[in-house]
Amino acid sequence: MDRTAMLHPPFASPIAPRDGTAPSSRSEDGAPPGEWRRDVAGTATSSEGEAPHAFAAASAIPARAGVGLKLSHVDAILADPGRIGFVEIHAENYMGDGGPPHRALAAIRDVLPISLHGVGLSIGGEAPLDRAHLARLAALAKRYETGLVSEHLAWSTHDGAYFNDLLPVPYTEATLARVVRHIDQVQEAIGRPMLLENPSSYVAFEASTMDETTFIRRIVAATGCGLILDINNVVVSAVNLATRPEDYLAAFPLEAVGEIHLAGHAEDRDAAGAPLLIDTHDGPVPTSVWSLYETALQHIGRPVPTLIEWDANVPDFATLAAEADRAEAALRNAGAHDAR
Amino acid sequence: MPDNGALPFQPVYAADHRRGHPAAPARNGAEADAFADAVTTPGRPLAGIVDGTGRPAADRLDVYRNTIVASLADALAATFPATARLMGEDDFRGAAVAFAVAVKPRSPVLSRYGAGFPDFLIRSGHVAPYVAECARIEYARVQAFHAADVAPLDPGRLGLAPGQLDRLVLTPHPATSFIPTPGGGYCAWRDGQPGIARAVVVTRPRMDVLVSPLMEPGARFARRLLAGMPLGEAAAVDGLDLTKVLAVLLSCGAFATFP
Repeated sequence: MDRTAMLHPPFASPIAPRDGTAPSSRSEDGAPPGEWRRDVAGTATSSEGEAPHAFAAASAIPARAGVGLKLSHVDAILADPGRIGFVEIHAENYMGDGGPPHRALAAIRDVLPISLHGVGLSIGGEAPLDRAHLARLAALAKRYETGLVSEHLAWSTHDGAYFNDLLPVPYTEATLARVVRHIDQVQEAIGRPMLLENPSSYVAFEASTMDETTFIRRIVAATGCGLILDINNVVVSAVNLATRPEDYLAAFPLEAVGEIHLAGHAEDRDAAGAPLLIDTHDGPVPTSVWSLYETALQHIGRPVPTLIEWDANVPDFATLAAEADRAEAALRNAGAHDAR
Repeated sequence: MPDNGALPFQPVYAADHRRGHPAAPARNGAEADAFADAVTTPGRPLAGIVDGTGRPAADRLDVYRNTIVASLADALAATFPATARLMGEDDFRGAAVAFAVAVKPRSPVLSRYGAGFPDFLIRSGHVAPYVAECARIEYARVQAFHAADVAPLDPGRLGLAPGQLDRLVLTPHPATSFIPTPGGGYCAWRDGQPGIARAVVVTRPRMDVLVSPLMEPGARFARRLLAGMPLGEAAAVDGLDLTKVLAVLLSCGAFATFP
């Protein structure tokens, strides 16, 4: 199978200006039009005030459905912000100094809370965290008073080279100590707990001495961090490593879950013919993921902020919002159960 | 991300694929070295990688190999769309994949990835100079897009006495780049055909990125002025219509305001 279109995000991608010379613009995320633009001074003033360092700020993420922010959707979101509960941004796309990305984000921040999701910190990496990158992440969290700050249980940088992918770690005592140290460092920099996301797995390490849920549970115990439960990653990993997603949920420290991610995946096979799911974020949330999401909400027993991730072949906002509506319906059910 | 799903993916390393490179040596504390080497070297075996049943499954590292190269090539496609049109999508994809294999970003902030891509294209020997010039314009546009929000210089501020004006040194706006286009890269970027503009100034005075073409001798003056030469000295160029070129530079917001 041609894997060209089967990248497993989230990875960073540059936000480029609108390709004004193109016969037909290919960029889905070019510079947006002007209605929501505010002047430069307004942006700077609103963003440089005192930001709360508390977890439950006015900007807290509600237990509703949100979507990954695309610049091409900004106008539609501003026209009807109540349609969704929050937006999530890939931190690395907003690490420039200024320009339309920050203008758009400031306008969004006026009407919706923002969740900050890093993809490039390399928390599982052997090298010390990149202090400059961590400082950029913390500055973004402060500037936009982001309701949540999250990163991945993965590594992406080695010897100064950034691979633009989320690479797996073996579950050993040595890796655990390293990840705990790095999460402590992040939480010190942002002044509050972060959320760590469970990975999508394609391989396992013979060197691992514990299973993933034990590894994650011990991270939570050692650092006090919260978790993103990525339901699609659970489905993908379970198929790829021949385990049962329900068993994973049963063993996962659900009490620490502060956010849920939902996304689509693609199907492939490995060299031995075994099924291999790829976490592509390139289509609607599949039935298997919706089903496990409802199970997870039942186990968790409370509604949890839920993000629809759709990062490639990005649809129009109405299509994305319909996915969010479906998650909100499930959240309302969870809330009803909670109230009983 | 642009949709590249319809494009043929032609890894430049296809000939090496699964030829059986020697396994990376497993050193103590160097698991990440070995893993990084394996996911950047097609076909390189890596011990200790299994599927969920304990069966060796190093072939699955292809999932990472593919994402690393293809996502970086996609990043280049997002930054260099006009260059891709000039080269043709297939040739561009081949060049982007080759660059992604050869050059990894030094930062997760990918808006800065591809700074070396224009020179990489020239070194390949397969593209005309105007293609690399077009690529330099596109890279400068992305940098301008993300540059700091600074007010451009108000032309009214230049109402100085002649002696002061001569010595005036102007500060380029943070979004400003000067790109020589002796090979015709400006028109190639704009129209798909090389043309006669000798240079461009890429600017972003407010929110829109502008690309302003310059002819000689105005291009030479602009280069000198943007490099920090005092106005009087920079303007010592034969045949320069100083008022006209300065008006172009000021109206496109090439300079930052001064205190």
